[in-house]
Amino acid sequence: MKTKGFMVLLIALNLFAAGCSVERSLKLDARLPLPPAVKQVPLHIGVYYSPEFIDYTKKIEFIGCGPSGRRDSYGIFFIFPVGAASRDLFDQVAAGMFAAVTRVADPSQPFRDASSLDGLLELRIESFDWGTMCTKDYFSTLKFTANVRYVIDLYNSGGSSVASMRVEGLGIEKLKPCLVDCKESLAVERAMQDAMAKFMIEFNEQPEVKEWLSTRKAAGGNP
Amino acid sequence: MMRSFRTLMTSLLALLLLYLGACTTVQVQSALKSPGNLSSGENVVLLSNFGSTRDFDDSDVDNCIGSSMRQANPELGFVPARLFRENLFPYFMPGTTPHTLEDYKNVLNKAEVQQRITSLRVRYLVILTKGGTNTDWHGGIFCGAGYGGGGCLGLSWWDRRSELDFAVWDLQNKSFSGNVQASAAGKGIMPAFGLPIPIYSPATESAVCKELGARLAELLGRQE
Repeated sequence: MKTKGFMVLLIALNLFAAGCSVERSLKLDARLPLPPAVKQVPLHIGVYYSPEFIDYTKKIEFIGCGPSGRRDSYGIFFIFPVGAASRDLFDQVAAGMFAAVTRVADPSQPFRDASSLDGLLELRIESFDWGTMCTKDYFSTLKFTANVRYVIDLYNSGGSSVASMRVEGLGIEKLKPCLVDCKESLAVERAMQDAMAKFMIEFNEQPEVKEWLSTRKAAGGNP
Repeated sequence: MMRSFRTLMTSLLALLLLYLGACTTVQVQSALKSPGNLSSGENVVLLSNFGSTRDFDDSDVDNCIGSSMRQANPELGFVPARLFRENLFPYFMPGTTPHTLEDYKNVLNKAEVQQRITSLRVRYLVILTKGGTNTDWHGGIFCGAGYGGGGCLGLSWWDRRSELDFAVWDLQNKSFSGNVQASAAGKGIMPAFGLPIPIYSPATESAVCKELGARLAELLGRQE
């Protein structure tokens, strides 16, 4: 691991010196080490991830900090597989929120078959942005910033839209020199977790969701 | 010759006066309603707060007051910020950290939250509510270079002020315990006779951290 990190740095510096650019695909894993501290809703929920959602990646150039906050380009690009990492995190979030969760391959299918699902959640990534902030002092220090915005739609068992929520997450992390066993998310995982945390708290507070929950609970749900 | 000697002496006198004024002064204020209730086995957690300031993360807060709290009272127990946040997810994330008394009561009244807090044995949450350092530069240094060499001449000084404010919450009793705040001000001097060399740089932030840590350790560490 140490050799690998050092080699990447060395190659990046060599390519920079040669006027070339380098690309680095990050491995994101925003999953939580523990189940969330929330009360489960006794409902059976379907979750649909579109192929566009799962394949969502973004390539962004790394802009470093020079003296007095100068912005320096090094020709280093990072590729962020935000969609796949968001799917893994949301699987865990949904499992923490609801008594039963089923992944749905085709969003129209479960309702046509009058399945046991109480509702369906569909995620979209509205925007993702990543960058760096530099302090203005001479020995300028760098922080990574990430911002992700999701749109989460809830459909009832009839397939009609109940609510559409927009949640935004922010992550800020300092640049930490690391060559051994580095966990490189560059603030992206934090931004994703922040957005999901907001969703978990705000979901039950939406008036449309409250109304839908009361009707489903009255009907007994399908846990 | 006499005039240049007089100029030099005036400069040295001004420098000496500035040097004498160049020290760091710290002021600490604390208003804790119910300090000193930490029982053995109960812990403290120290958190940053992106809603208040983005200059400090959890490790900055730990480096700032955590180390001086441990030094002042080695018997104090701490729960790492990361462990606390992992256990309390989705609460205490940057966008979901409670701010008001009402917010805290809403969160702390949830059975799942209380269960996690109890299992971690966290009694006090010390969370950053305000923090930052401002520096104002004065004077000026002029540098020049030619074929025969180069150099700088002048005098710069700067006023630096650091301020930190922490709120203390009693998570077992679900109540606000109070605030502890400190500020430090100092003056730095950098004369340039050939080369600019700082002769005093005020460490206002570390002074604030040290004083706050010692005060918090004293206030929270009293055994029942």
